[in-house]
Amino acid sequence: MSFGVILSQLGGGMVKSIEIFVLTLLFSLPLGLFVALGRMSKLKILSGIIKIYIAIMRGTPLMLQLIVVYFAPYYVFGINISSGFRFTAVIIAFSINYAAYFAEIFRAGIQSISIGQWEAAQILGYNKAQTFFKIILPQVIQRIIPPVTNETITLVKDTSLSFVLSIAEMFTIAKQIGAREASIIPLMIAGLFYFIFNYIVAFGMDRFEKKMSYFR
Amino acid sequence: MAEVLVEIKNLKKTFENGTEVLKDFNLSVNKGEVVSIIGPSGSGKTTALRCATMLTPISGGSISYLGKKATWEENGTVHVANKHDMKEIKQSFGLVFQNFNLFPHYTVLQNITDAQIHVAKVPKSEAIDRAVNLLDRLGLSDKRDFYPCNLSGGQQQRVSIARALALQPKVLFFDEPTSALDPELTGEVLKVIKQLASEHMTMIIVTHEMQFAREVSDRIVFMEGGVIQAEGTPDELFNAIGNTRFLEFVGKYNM
Amino acid sequence: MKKLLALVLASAMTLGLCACGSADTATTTETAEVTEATETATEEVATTEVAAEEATTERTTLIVGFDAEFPPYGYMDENGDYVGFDLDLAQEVCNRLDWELVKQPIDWDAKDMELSSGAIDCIWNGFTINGREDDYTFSVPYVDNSQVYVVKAESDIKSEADLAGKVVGVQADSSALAALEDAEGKADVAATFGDLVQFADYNTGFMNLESGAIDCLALDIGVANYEIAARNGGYVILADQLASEQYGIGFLKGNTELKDQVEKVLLEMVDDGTFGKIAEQYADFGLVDSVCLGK
Repeated sequence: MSFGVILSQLGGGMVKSIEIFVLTLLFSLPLGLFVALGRMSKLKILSGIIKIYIAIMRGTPLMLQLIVVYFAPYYVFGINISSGFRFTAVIIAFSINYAAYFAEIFRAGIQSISIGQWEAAQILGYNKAQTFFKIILPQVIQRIIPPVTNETITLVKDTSLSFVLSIAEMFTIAKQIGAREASIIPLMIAGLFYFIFNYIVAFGMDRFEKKMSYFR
Repeated sequence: MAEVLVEIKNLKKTFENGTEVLKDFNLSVNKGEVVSIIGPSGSGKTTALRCATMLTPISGGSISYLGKKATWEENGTVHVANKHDMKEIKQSFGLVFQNFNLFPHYTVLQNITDAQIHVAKVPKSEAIDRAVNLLDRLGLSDKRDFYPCNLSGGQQQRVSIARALALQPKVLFFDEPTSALDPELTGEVLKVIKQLASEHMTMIIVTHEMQFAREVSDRIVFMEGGVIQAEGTPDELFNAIGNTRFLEFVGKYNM
Repeated sequence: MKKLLALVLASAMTLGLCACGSADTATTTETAEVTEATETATEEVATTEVAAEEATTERTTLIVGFDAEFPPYGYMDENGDYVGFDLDLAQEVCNRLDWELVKQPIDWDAKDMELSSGAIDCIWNGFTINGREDDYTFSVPYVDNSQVYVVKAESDIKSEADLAGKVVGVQADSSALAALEDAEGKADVAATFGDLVQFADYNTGFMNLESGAIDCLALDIGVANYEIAARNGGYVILADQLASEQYGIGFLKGNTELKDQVEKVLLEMVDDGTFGKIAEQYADFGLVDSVCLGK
């Protein structure tokens, strides 16, 4: 079997990995922002619930969370699950897990903005939503780029965990080719693919960081 | 009969830890008046200003703008004006902070126009006209596209004054506007405030600059221990008849 | 607390469903056959669910769960298609019943959850009956398989007795492991091992054997033959065997209706020789010798 075939099969898996990566970021970043706001809420019940949620998400293995989300409809509600739910479950599990981590990053970022910024906005008459989205959030985003980059790079590698639900992403495919070929090479190539993927992500985030450094 | 813009009556403020910062603070400011509040650290002058600008809730007494009550205490409960009145009240005053608190991600021009456009709903072109005009008056015409981080402290403070003025407040508060500046930069900011005074802008200034307060104020309020120790025109306070504590305090500044 | 969980799950699912739309499009990057299978999986399963409530006889699809890292029974070929002896049999059964076959790779450790939750209809993947009789509804056995020991050709291990003090590897939750843990089986032999190490898949197991991390690998003879052939020799199978066992198709316990339907067609295939022909295609793996139907 030619090298080219391995590459094209892994490439197909990589598309799936990228898809998981993009969708997870798309859902977990906004969700994380709202979780962070809930965590900082003055409502004790809300912030308490959010604290428990974050504790569970950070305190249990992501692989277990994937299995739980996929099988929950059946074991909790008795609804038969379809195979099509597999991918949805992966996206849900990744999104709620990463939202918890992003929430803590957002919280640290929001709390690092001086109270004077809130007060200045209040005096100028901005309402709460305007103050947050126009004044505070842009500054928060600039400050949290480095930790978010860290999480994003971890996410690229974590997509491989979806093999537990047999999603045809790159790692699953690499294992399957490895089994057929009785060889370790496909896994090594997959490793190289992950590295390149991450190199591009890191490069992109670096560019974004530079672009956002127009103010201090 | 002069129009009373700000009226603070029997203002009390006790922090959560039980510290009584303001005991019985009274101040009435007329249109066109410049009032300086001076006093040693911990005298309550900044707290009084924060209460007046609604950044800190009061514990007792009342604060009114243009004859409308903004916040008041009654039988142990603190009330605030309804939404509609509060909007009008908030539009009637501005505040210049000690640390400027410019928005770092906005250019000088955006800092001055954004609240006009999105809060006061001034048409964009008019907002820009106002901003350009103000920058011109404050000698910052060439800085309109700079970000705050590229300006000196004095320039930043002048921009923050422009930002406050752009919303056309009836009264402008200053919270130690030169305390965060290097000594050689205080002059440019004080000059701007003097210029505003000469244009009869109503201002209430918390400051450490004795000489400046003496020159610019119509009235000086000397605070200590949460109460007003002395109040009067600069001449009354600085000359002879003055309060002993005031003269002692001023003496420390070698005046 | 339960209500809260329901709420969280419900909102999470709404979120996830939005993601579902784009999921289908991406599968097009995979090869044609797989794409077809996956798409039918998403579309057809919905109908299957409804149908299942009314009458199972209305069945239009058969979702076969298999470990895609288990050649020659189920694996990914060089075109990226899932093939293998068992999948070919399943395909023929479906053709005859006019069903759509959905080949669903699963994580072997999650097979019970997949089956009981309805995500798959059966496990058809060199699935050992022995020891699992009470957990599944099985078809008739169609392959006789032995569990064997594989060592490096140059190893001085020649018999089961030589394994004393050595490190032996097995696949987690496999028949070989079951045999080694069975008190009436080889538990006494296992007690003499230096260590018993479990692997998630055979490729990892062989990598360990090759690198000397373990001295011996205990596994199914069919897989052993395949791996040794694929690695161009260098390994030997010991004459001593762990156990002999039989493969069957595993259905959810009590689902005799589906089992009967599939088994009937399978036996027809044995009678008309199709079964034998499919086994011929995998002759390289010794399947002709190990099938136990039609002899």
